[in-house]
Amino acid sequence: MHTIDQLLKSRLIHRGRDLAPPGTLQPSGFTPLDQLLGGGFPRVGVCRIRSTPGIGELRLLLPCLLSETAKLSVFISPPGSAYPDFWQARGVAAEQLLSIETQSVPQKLWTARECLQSGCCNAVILWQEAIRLSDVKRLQLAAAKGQSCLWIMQAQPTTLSLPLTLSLRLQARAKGLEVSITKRKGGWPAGPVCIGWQQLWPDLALSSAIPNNSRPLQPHHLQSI
Amino acid sequence: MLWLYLHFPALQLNSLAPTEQPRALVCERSHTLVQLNGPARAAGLTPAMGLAMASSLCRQLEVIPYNAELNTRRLHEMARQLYAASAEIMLFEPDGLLFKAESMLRYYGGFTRYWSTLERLLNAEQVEVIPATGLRPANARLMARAGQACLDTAPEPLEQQWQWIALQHSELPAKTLSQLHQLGLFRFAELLQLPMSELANRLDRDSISYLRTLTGQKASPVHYFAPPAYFEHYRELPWELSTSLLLREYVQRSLTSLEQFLKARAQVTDAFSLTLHQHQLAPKVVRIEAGRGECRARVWQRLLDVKFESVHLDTPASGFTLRADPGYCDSPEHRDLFDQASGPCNRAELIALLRAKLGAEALGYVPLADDHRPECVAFPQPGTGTVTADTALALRPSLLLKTPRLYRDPLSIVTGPERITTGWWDQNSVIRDYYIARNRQGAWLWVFLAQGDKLSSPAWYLHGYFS
Repeated sequence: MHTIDQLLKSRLIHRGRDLAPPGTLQPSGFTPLDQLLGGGFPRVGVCRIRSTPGIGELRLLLPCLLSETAKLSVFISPPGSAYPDFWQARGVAAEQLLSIETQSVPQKLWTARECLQSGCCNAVILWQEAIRLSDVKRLQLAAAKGQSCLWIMQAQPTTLSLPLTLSLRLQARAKGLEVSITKRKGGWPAGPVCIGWQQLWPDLALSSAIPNNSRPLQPHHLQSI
Repeated sequence: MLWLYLHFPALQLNSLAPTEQPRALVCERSHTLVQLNGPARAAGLTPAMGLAMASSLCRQLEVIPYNAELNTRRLHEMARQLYAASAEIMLFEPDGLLFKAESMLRYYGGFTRYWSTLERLLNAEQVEVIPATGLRPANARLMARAGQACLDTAPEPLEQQWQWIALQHSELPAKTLSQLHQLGLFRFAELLQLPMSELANRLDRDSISYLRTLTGQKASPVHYFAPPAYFEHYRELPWELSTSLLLREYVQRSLTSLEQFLKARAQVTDAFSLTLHQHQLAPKVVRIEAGRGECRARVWQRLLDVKFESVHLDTPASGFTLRADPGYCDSPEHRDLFDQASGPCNRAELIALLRAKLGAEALGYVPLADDHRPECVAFPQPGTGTVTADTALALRPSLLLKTPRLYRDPLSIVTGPERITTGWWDQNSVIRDYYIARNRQGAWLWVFLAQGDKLSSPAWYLHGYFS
């Protein structure tokens, strides 16, 4: 008992009955996901998306980035630079998007903190694999100060438990994306739910005619074309 | 006409950090004392005393070389500060300022209030000063240089007082002075007993013309001071500082002056450059840009702190110059009164802060180019205009790699090919067939097939993600 009291005091154990209600939410833009999340993505906080790069993780956040056009969206060390033709065709103006390229982890975290607490950023998206618990706590404080939301993009699964507002796992499916909630503040893990891309991104969804595991194409196949 | 002259006996000395030790500035050519602080004067030292005598009188005397240029620079700064309170100022380099008090009396409603305003500004600068009033510029200057502080405004005593000043304090040449001393004349009152025509036979032309300006028979030329349109501050550090962090508090004072300078003109400026003077090395220039018009010292200080984290001095700095870019009129930003969510800083401030810390290149902007080749397009710098997206093109990836990467894993092609070709106009021609492909993990990739030559076989290159 003594040790449990100590753990409670140092805030390492959270009681189920003390669950804080989720903060303000904003619609994600996808009805099945909104139903699963009880209203949408959090407006303030630190969230994580675990996915293979390129399966549609930014397209999932696109309606959320478009919700407040007066504010900045910041990409911190993305795997490539933002392609203007794509973003402008979707209504994200050039001056609304800020891409920052730095490899040093302290600088990435500093940039994320400054952007979050400045209050002029709608969403900050950070590509960073390993992140420490103390850093996440600092980022949570910065997000609360500036009323903004941080999305951490990770490809590798981790065992470390982090104080995140929301954690999602994405998996590619033939017709779209399968989203499952692995962790949620004020809620329980849920899912998976499937988001179809046929309507929004017809070029980026496989029609049912083509099987998902079609024969892989090697360079020599194409030479005959 | 009432004039006020301020004599600054120790301008360079006062700009150094105060000390309890006796300290003196010494002229390097003549080895005589020029400026003394309080403890040095208490030890019995006087200006113009030889260095040998001074050091025998006071063993702990700290000696610093006198620099006339520094003194003059400081005088100009004083004029700039006092210009806020008085319109017509004349500079007497290297250590005096003359004010046309008459023209300010009506504005201030009396000399007492005029002087108290000037005194407040002088106290803020922490300089020793000897003020003297006079009916003519030359008289006020004579009184102040003789050390006779005087703040009278009535004409009669003013006309009397200057005549009792000893001749040696005047600007008469040494030869004339010794001539007059040999005649038994020591004060102006005695000298002016003699008729001017008689004196003209004995004294040279310059001395006569000086006497005529003192008595008001001849007007002295007047050139009024006009403050410069830009802000520039030079500060000598009390000792050499090796880290930029220690420099902070000294720069802070200059930034506060910059804020006052700009606020007085209702102006803002975009940037300033801070030049750190190092011994035997070229000075290091640190440029701080706010990204938009700014005048607040607090904001500049924040940017400077962030910048200083990456500035390393090769040798200790002995001084710095802060020079601001030309100021311009501020047009207030439109802020939403009811927008409670807006945080402590705005977009331009954030971008300026990131630029100061990470460098401009980390923000990943290249100049705007309207081109169909993926290597040649990128986001323009914020505020430089907008590119119109070419929606007629096929789907483009959301993230584009800077350089295409060789891709060896199996792929299945979904859409394509789309040929992107030529560029003969800038010797950067490309011929590429792009495909939208999907890999085994389900990632959507933008790939092209590079045709192999004799040495290499054809290979897939990854150029972007449809993230």
